[in-house]
Amino acid sequence: MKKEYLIRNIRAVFGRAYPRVIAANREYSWVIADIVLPLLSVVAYGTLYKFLGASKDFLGFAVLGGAMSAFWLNVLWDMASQLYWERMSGNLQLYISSPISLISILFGMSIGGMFTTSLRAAATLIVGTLIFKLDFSLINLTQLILVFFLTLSSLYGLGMTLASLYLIWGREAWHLSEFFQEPVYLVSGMYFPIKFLGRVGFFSSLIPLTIGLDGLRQVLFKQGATFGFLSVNIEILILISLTIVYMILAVFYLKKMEYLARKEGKLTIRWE
Amino acid sequence: MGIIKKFLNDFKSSFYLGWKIESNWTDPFLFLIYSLAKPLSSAFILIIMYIIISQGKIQETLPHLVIGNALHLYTANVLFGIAWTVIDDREFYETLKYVYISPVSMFQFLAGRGFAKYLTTTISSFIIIIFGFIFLKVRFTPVPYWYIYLPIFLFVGSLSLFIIGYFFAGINFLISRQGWFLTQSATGVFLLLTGAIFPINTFPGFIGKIGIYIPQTVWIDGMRKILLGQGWNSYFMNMSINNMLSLLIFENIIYFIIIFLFFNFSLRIARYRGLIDQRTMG
Repeated sequence: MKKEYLIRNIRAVFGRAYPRVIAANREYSWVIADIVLPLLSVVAYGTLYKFLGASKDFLGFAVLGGAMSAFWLNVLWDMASQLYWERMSGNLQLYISSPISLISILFGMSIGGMFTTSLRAAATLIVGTLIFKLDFSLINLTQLILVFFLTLSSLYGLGMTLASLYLIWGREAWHLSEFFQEPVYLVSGMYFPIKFLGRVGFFSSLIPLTIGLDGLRQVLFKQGATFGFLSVNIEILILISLTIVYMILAVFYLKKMEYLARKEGKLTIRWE
Repeated sequence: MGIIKKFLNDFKSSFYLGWKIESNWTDPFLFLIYSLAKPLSSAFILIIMYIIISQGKIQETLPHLVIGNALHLYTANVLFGIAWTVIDDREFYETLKYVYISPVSMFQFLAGRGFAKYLTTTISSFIIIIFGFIFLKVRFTPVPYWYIYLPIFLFVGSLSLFIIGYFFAGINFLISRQGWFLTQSATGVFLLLTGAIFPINTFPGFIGKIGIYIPQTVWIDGMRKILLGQGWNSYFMNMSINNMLSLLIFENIIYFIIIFLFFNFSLRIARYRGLIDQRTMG
């Protein structure tokens, strides 16, 4: 790989991350929406737990789930759907005809999305913690950092894979993102420990959020380990595997998508 | 053409359009799966949360939760459906201006578009309630003459959904892309304030009392009373179903008058400021 090509791609990563960080914070209504919408769900689910007489840790599970849901929404709407939107707005043909790899574009989107969404998720977590007066008890800082970052890397790897698939699936992209919202909240145990879904948990472990959220709950709450699905170390291994698998799939599908789109002449077609 | 015939014709056309927009991107079976997956999943999240905390014991709060959650789907979908139509047609399809200059009343047009959402939501709500009765052992203990009250309450409550939907549609005429966020937030706020998944007095002070003045609260609790024999919110606990119906009708009339005036006002302002064909979403 030539040095010039590498530098160009690094610049492309930063170039694509830039609007995710700067532009996303320029539109205040989006900033408020990204914080308030998950927070409303968090307050609803937290209040339900409170009404049912659940322990404070369950309120914490709901708050943490609500905060992490911001990442899933970001992956669905700003990663998976992105190439489809780019085609709609006419940018996709520019990306493909420019002397950079599409992976750099997707990687840049991921970096920017992760950073911006982390701020939003932190805001949801802080406000949720204040509302419900949560008690966190950090069990293991190293595991917390590992689980969090591996969850994000595998989640955004999945987002990069889906980006290509969405483009192939065409105008169903919007509906797919809608489809993958609440059902994924259900099967990934966004608001309750996944352990209670039994064997479903093994299938939903393919979604990194399931394992990541379970791991985070185990290292952040007293009762976390009691309701844990697998041991945290095993979950870390699964997250590493998922990261590798989704990255490989992302590269594979991106090439396949580009080939198909060129072959069928769909790179410039809107509304399809 | 008679006024009623014209109204029905316009309603039918806008409903057909709404239905096509909702469903023509895929085959009917796949559409059904997509339409049901989202509401059913959110219902099951609540049911599982309940079962976890109650350790599998079905107590008297679960039936209220099932009914409330099933009916909140209407609030979320119909309210969002009507309000979103303004943004969807203005920003994406760019057809709002053509509807505006056509001889169809915007009021009827939005009613038809909202009705398409209403139908798909009815299927989801029906499935959740039936699931509750069959698998969660929710006991059907209705009030006397429930078969008369049920359709009346459903109809009057459904009207309130459309009325509130017009309020947000009216706002969306005046604002740009923020309408998406506003409407989504509204459905979340309604979930909290209408006692759909917990009694409204769970919230302290005046927040717990706001719900009394929202028609959906009366509607959801009235439906609980009709199907289960008793309501959930302390404010309506001792109120007869006739009184609840009267209260719902009264609130609907008040809301309708205020919102009808607001809707027409915002439509006029939107035209005056040239907002009917604005594009703000890229």
